[in-house]
Amino acid sequence: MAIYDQSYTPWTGEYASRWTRIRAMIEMELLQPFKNIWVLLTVLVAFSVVGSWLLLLFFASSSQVLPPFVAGNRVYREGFYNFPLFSMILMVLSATVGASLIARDVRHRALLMYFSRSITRMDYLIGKFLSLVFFLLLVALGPGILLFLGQLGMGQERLTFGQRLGDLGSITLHSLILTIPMSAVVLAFSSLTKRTYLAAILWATFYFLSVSLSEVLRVTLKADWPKMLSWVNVTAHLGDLCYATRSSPGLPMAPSSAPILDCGWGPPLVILGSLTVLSLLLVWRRLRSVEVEE
Amino acid sequence: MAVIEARGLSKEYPRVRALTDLSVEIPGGAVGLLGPNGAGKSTLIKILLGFTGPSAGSVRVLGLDPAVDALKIRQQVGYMPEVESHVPTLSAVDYVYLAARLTGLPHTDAMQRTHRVLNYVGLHDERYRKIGTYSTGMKQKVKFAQAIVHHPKLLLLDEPTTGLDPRARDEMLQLIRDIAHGKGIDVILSTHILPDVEVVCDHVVIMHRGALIAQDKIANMTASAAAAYEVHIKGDRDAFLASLKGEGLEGTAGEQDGSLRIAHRDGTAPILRAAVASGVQIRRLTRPQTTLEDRFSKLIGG
Repeated sequence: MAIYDQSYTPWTGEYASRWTRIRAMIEMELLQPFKNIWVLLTVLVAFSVVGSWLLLLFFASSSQVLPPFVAGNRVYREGFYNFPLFSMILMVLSATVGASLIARDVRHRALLMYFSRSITRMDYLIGKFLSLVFFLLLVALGPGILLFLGQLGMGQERLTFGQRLGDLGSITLHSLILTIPMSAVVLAFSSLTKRTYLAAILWATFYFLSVSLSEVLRVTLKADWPKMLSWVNVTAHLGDLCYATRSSPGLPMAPSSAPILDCGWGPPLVILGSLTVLSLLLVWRRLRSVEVEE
Repeated sequence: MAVIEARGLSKEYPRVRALTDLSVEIPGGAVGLLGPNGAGKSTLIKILLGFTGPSAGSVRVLGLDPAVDALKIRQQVGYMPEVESHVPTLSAVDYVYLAARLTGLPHTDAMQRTHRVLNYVGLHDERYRKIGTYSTGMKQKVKFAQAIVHHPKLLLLDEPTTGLDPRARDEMLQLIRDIAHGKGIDVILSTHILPDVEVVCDHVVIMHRGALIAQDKIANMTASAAAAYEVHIKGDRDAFLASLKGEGLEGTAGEQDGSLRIAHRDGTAPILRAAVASGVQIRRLTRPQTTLEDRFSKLIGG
């Protein structure tokens, strides 16, 4: 039999910190999606949206007539983050990658391995949550920063360092608004079932139902408040509020777009915050019960 | 020194009582944790790892309390569950490496240890394949590798040979023997396959219906029954029994029909003298070989 006796030696090193253990989980989960060709292609599509804008920006930089999208920060908001194709990409990626995170571990009883290691349920939850947040951030913030760099190099607006930094902060904040609640809700659906596809379907249903129900109620009731029921509206509205309104000397004022919701940041923030907290509580509760069952 | 000390340990689930006032000290070395299905072995392991708490009583693992120091215990204990518990899309390298990192090994150490233990269990080029494509024997080896990757002080093995063909079973038992006797790791082998325990372990703890019913060295368990002779005679049975008394021995009904069991450890001479004196023929004289299985069956009333 194959016992390679010399290959086994005792280990006498020092254990790493708790955060290092969580980070190991995040690293492993972050690598997994990139082994799937379809996920890779979808990520590329997200980057290609930005690539198209950069191309337009390049042509606009040599033009005498400034196209409206170049002025202000509309290109970030309307050109990328609130662009329907990008919203769809983010939803599809979160369903593909996030739905399997807990469902897969429960189905294959991998939780037994996780919890027989030196991590707590909370560590596991944090690890899974952050791995999805970081993955979605890569898809949201990565192209956003590329667009920012394109604006920096090719944009004709004369902005101060502070304004540039403000744009960068706005992009980051907008990305976080899109990814954090989405990760929490997808993770909650993932913890509800052992079947990955079912978790993905549940999340997609929730997403589309919120959008269509909001529109149906708005038309039926002839009121504006149902707009707040739409996931897309709430995240887009909060995202829009991250950007400063400004005019640049020598450049035409960017045409202001109408606000998505007739309210400030309070109600949408409460809605998204509550959904995030409730989702994470649900995951926590599920993890506790699953561990005992195993 | 005892690696596990339990005092009055009880565990109740809503519809079943899994452990009942269990008090046991499990010594180091290779120990078999025996019991039929539902004996409470898995529940005891769950409590030892801190997966669940006891309803009553206390337990210490390597001197630590699982309710307080579960994470420290898990750094010093390796656990190989009975059921499959891997992610099929991960390779053996990724899986064992993840297990090492989650225990707290730094990156370089974790990667080195991963390859060493995979060599040790006999997984070579196939370690880069997804675990989902493995045979049962290979999956068991991966589970074993993840359990020892951090060089634990104590290894808990839950039915490690379940579902293995004879060759894979032999390989697994040799690995466990080597770890227990050659690498200085204490092993608790929870199983209902008694021959596995006889091959690997020195000591045995037998549980039934959530309670401890016996605990001893395997040698003692099998020796107590071996200190006797089983004899078949032809002739006057009463006269033979009387002659035995004259020799200071006593005969009782044996295991087989018509046989006599004579408790005597040293030599057959007094039995033969009694046969000559009573004029009976001895048709068979044997020392009964009691296996662990015989003892186990008797203890649990099977």
